[in-house]
Amino acid sequence: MSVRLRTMMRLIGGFLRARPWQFALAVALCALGLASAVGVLWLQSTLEAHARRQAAGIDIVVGAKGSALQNVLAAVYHLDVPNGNIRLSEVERLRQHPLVKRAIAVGMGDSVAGARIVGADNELIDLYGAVIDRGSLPSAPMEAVLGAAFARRTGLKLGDHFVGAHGVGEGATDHEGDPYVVVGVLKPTGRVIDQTVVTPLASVWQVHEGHAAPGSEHEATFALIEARGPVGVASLPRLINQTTSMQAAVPALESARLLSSFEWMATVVKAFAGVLLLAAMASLLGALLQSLAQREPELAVMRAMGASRTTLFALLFGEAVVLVLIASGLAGVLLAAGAFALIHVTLPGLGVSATEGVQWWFYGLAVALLLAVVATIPLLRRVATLDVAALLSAR
Amino acid sequence: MSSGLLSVERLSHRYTSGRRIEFGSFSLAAGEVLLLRGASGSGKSTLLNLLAGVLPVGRDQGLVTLGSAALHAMSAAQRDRLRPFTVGWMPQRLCLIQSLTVHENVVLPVALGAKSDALPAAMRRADALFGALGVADLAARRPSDISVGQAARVSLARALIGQPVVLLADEPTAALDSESAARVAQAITAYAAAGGAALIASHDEALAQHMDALRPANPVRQITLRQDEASDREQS
Repeated sequence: MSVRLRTMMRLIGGFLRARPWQFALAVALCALGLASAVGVLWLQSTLEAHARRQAAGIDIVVGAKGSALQNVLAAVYHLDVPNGNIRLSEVERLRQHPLVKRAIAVGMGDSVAGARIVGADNELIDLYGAVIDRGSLPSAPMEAVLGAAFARRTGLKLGDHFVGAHGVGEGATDHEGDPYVVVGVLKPTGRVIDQTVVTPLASVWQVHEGHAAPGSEHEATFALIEARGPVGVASLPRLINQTTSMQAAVPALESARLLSSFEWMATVVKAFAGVLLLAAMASLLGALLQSLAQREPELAVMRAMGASRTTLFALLFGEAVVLVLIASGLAGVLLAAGAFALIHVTLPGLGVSATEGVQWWFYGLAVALLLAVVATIPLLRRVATLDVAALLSAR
Repeated sequence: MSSGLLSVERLSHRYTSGRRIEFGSFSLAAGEVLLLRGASGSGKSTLLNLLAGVLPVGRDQGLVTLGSAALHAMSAAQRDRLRPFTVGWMPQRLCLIQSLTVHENVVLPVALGAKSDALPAAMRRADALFGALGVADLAARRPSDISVGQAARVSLARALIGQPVVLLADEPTAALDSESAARVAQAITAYAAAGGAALIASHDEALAQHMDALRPANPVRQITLRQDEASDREQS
């Protein structure tokens, strides 16, 4: 390291040590602003990515007539109750259509410990990209495989028995006579299947035998359709809605419609993040300007001793950069704490990506460094016009 | 150390207020000490600022030659580059940098000059200067922990660290006790005896006597600046 650089670093270090509280406050404000701005943007992108991830591979949701959005929320996100049931024979006919690549009949409506029990072929597990962690896939009615988060939360293990409840949430009543047995546990996927129990569709029929009319046709709650290409995605919904008693909805469209209704909120959040960053920059600029006013004679003597304007610019910029780096480091710690709480406490199933968080932190760091440049410009103007003779003449 | 001369010809300066001051012509040879006298406001500090290259020598406002460099023809950036190794400047306001130790303050002009190979020699010179100025025990202290008199001696050490062609000192003994003033006089005399040239602005009557006593064969020359008109009254 050159003597010049080492001297500059000593000057920067000394400058920061000489006014610890003043800069601690500026750093704290900058870190809070940065953490808040990066945090809200990260959360927003995480929520959008989460929504997209849940719907991956599901081009069309087919359910009973009613609200299309309600069907999507219930089938894809497990956030609402289904409109009703559909006949299995209609799903079978749909499966034969040349534009349908895959159609998975899903039976929903029961729950255990607040999680949905989803009746479907093991193809559903494949759709979500899940693989067995322990045990095996279910091969007979009343065998169940648990999502990773559900297994962790409830502590259920291979060989354990449990009973489902009719309905979801409060008011659900237990199906006492039909216990499920745990035959497998899935690896985490970051998708909604982590929070569910998957069992053959025949289990759902068996549990609800008493509720169905004698001799009635088997039913499913939804069919999750993967279409053959964009033509299938575009044409199948209209075909289904016009020619069957079922209702088709495209999750991508319904999600986009839902998110667009919250667009104003996203705009407000982004504006808030911008204001926070501006406040952080103002705080940094204020601290640097106040400090500059106090040590103009020191800078003047450095000029007198041979330091060029460029050297003083580099010194001031270096100080701003060091402050921003400390603030960014602190913001990183705050964000990591926030992400930890989000992942493990508040929304464990959200699938928050730590890698994506680091990426957002780097964006924040880049913006903060840009702010450091902007905050230094007024200082540079003052240094450029420093009256060395006047500052060093009066005692 | 260089044996360069300082040459000033028909030098004048116009303040932003419009007031004009004339310094006339004089020169300074290697080994000489020139004492600049004059009442407050007569332009002593302004003259030092001009010679240090901190203030520009305006067009048609005279000629200043420092060593082999024509200061009046140089840009601000060129004067900045020239200063650390040509001019040793002890300003009226001492301005030691509070975040650095006394030793770091003294070697700062060399460190900022970006000549890393010059630093070890500068460190050794600093130790010698500290000894000569009687501040060797202050090297590790912060400026806030030393007295004004000690700070003045440290400031002089800082001015001499780069082995300048010319030493410019503005009231170097103001507010110093007699022992400190004597140390300063000794250091300036030793610098001149080694081939340097010093221009000292001072009200201190005893300073010239001190230096004359130390170098009777090479007495201090004096110039007095008048406040109201051009002045170049050189006294032997």
